[in-house]
Amino acid sequence: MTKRVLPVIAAGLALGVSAWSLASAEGRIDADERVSAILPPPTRPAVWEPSAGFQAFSFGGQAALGVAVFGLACARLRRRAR
Amino acid sequence: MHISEGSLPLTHAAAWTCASAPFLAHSISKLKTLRESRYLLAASAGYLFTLTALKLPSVAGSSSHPTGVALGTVLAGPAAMPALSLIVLLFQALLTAHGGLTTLGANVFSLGVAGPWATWLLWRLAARCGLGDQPAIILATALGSLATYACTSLQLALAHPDPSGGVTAAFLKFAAVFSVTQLPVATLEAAFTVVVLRMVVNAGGVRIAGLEAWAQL
Repeated sequence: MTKRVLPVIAAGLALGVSAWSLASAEGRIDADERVSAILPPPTRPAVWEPSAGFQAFSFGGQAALGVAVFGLACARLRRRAR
Repeated sequence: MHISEGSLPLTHAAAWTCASAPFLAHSISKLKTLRESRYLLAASAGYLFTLTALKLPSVAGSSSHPTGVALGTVLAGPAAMPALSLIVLLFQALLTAHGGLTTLGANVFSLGVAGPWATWLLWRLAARCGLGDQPAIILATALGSLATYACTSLQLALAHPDPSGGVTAAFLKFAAVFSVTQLPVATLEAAFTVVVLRMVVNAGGVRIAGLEAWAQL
């Protein structure tokens, strides 16, 4: 069990931190933001606008969650194949 | 490809939601029938979750994320993807302010319908033309990723046509902005998807229609 879960946790943390770091990096403009900049201003204000720090953290959390789900699914597939 | 909140008129947002609804309903019913391959679906969802969270640096000081739909399209079929895309897009709209709630239908259409179907059709077409498994998937993934962004460009062009050139000029303008950033990202995603797909097929000993040879490796 630990042998299966530990690498998944490690990979999840590594990719989560990478996604967090990439999302919070400054100096690069996201393609969606580039397109939004040439659009007319939004007709409605955003219902909820989290801070940039929270957004970056959420991107990290999303990546970590994705890796965890992917890793555990692969572990189950491997076990079932055996 | 995330159209942000308020960027589409309400009528367009509603129309794209209506366009996505049948695909979504079919996808949810399809997921129920795919219970046997739930681990493949989970792996596809995890891959989609991870890749759409990675804002990769690209050319000309820009960044963008891969679409991540190709793995699920090959493993579970394009019909399964709208439901998985909805989960990801809802998560991002609520927690990362990437996309929006009123534009959810439009975003599901581009990420969950246009991208996966384009990937699947190109994969099958390339395979039928005699291209090997690996090149066929690389080509389909890269072009499928670009098709997602082409769909977003069309959605935006229909909502905000160019005053002089109309929808076509607006589409070309949006597509040009996306393509500069997305071409390198789509190429990288295509190569990575083949590696991950091979890993999943080998790990699970699963047999995928069109990739029977891979499971025997």
